[in-house]
Amino acid sequence: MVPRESFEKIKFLKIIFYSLFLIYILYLLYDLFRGDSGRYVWTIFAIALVLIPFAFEKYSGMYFPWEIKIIVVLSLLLHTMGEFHRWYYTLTHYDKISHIISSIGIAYLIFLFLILIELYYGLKWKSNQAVFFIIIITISFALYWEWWELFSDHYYGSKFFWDMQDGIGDAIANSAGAVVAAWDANHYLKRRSEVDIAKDFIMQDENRWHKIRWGILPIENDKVTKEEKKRISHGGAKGGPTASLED
Amino acid sequence: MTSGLWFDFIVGSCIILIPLAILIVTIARALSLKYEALAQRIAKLNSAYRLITNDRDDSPINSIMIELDEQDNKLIKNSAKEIEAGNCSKGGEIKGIINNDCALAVKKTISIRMAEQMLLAQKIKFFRLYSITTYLLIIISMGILPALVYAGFNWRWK
Repeated sequence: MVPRESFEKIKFLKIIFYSLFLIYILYLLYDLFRGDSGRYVWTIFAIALVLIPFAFEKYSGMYFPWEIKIIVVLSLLLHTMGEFHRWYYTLTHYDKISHIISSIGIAYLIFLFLILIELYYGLKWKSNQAVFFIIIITISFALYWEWWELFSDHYYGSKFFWDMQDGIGDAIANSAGAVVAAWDANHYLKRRSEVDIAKDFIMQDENRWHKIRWGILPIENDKVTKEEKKRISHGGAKGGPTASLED
Repeated sequence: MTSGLWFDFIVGSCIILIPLAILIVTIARALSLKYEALAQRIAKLNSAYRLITNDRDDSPINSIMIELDEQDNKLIKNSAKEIEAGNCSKGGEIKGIINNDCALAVKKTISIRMAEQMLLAQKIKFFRLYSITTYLLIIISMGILPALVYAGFNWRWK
């Protein structure tokens, strides 16, 4: 996780995100041009999923980190590319890479949910508690996914679950993704205090409306420096870390 | 996948429903503990206020009879200083916190904590409502396709 005061890194992450998004749009245009309705409907659905974090930011007043947006778009793009180029069927371990990236994405979304709970209710998660929930819920989602493949094959005649070896391999790949995200979350929680986390995730509040809803606010023992005020007034930090400290 | 549709469905659903239930119960427990702790803090502040107004204690900051929360103590100190500074705004100096300032400061702290408690109570109420609704919606959404199979809807994946 990159702290929000690292403006240069955030700029770099934005470039990556928009590049991946552009690639996605190109795939959609190609499918639309060819009139392949079986695929472009799913691509439009996936693009709508990619845009959900922006809607979440707008309506919740909570910052959705760019690295998580990148992982969301990348996991969906890998799936689209895998079907488009038939890589799922021709490249041996392509499926596993897709599973790892997707499970990292899900684990980060769970981490974000835990942060939301922490900030909204003012509950402090211990890092081992957060790690436990990130791992246990991501793995349960992953196992449910594998179970669902098996269930669908049995009752609806699909062919998702190839064999037990492949299923176990997928589950291991998912678990590895969960462990990677949990390790990063643990590192982040140990490094940042409650006030830092609030600064990292609570958006700029121009109308003071969002302030009342948060249980933890970055207002105690803290002041806006002149440099930060200047940066905010120049629009360098829209939704910047110290914007809510001004009053 | 040979033990019957509903058995398969229940086994699969439990994979996801049990960890979610653990998470919801953990959050609900932490919230009720927080609410209780806040209620205790308010009770202690009320006792401190009674002690000051009955002239049995000069300042809750130095009190040994009631151990106030560290944050509350800090808030009372700051509020009392602000009140004193407000009283001396016409060029006077802050000489020290007097009993009356302290009583007002404690009263102010009580009102802040009570507002916090009310907000938390409202949040807990909505958490219960939303978590139960979401949990039921997850169960229903997972049960739609097995229900269709049970109803004889013979849909096959192309």
